Amino acid sequence: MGTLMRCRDVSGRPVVTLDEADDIAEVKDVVFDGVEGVVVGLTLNGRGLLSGPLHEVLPWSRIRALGPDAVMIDGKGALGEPDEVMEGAGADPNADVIGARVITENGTALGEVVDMVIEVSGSRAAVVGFAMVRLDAGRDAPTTLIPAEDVISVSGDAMIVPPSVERLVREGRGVAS
Amino acid sequence: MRRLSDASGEPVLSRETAERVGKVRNLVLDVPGRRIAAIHVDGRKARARLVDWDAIVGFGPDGVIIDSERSLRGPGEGEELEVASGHRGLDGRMVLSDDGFELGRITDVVFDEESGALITIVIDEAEHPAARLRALGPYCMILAAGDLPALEAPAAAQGAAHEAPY
Repeated sequence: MGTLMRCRDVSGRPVVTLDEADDIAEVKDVVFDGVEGVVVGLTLNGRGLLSGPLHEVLPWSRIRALGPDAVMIDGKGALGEPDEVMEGAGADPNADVIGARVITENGTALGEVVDMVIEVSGSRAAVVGFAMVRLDAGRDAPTTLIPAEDVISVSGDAMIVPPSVERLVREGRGVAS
Repeated sequence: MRRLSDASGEPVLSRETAERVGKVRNLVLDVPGRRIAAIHVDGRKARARLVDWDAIVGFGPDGVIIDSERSLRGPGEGEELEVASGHRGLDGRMVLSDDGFELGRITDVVFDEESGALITIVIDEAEHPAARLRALGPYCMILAAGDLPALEAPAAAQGAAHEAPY
């Protein structure tokens, strides 16, 4: 088993080049392929208070190490254009699953996705689950974890789950802090 | 064997004139060669003066003797200028392992005063062999993780597994 991480914890980590020991960016979001359930790359922000999002993205295959204190890459050349690396994999870096509505296939809305859990093993990172909060709860409320295998489909708009997940949410099972 | 903390401030003298031309302020490292490339001896920023290791005749306990004042030169770009500007000396710079763990901050550097070869990098209290030096840049120094003691790895992995609710 690999290392489990919450995407929210990965955001903000500096991206550091191994050749020049420079922090050229920091992680904005984790981009995944909703069909395959694998992480395809990271979107980036510039470093410093005044910098905004970077156009370039970091494909997962070019990450040398995802450590707790930094994401290590060989050099600036590891960054790439979003369309060449992300869309080819069926992922749209502009479609943010965070904030997507969780809805059963019966059409009952259960809550909102607030975070994603990935499992990093070797050179692969799989999406293993999504953290959601109930619609009536605040953003800081306890989250319910929906295992990725229970998810029927997911996009930036919504995550469709089987009705059984409604019971899981109501009973408060899979609740984590 | 000398430590930067101990050599720092030592007078630098010209062999030709016996005049004092400066003092040991900081070191510029040759990262691939894992040795000292130059010493910053005087001035700041663009006016800084450095001396290449090859121009050093003797690195003794009481002074560094260089061949002549003519060996002093201005700083190059990048790392050299940073060191000469004083705000990116080796001391206090953050160190990351190449697998993304923060190891601490540089507190000292141990080198061989005959050859200029780096022996160990002292990070907080721990000494790490200079052979692991991989890069030095504006953000940090990077050491190869190799069989470095995994200071945080098990704890971090456990923490992550613990946070995840199954």
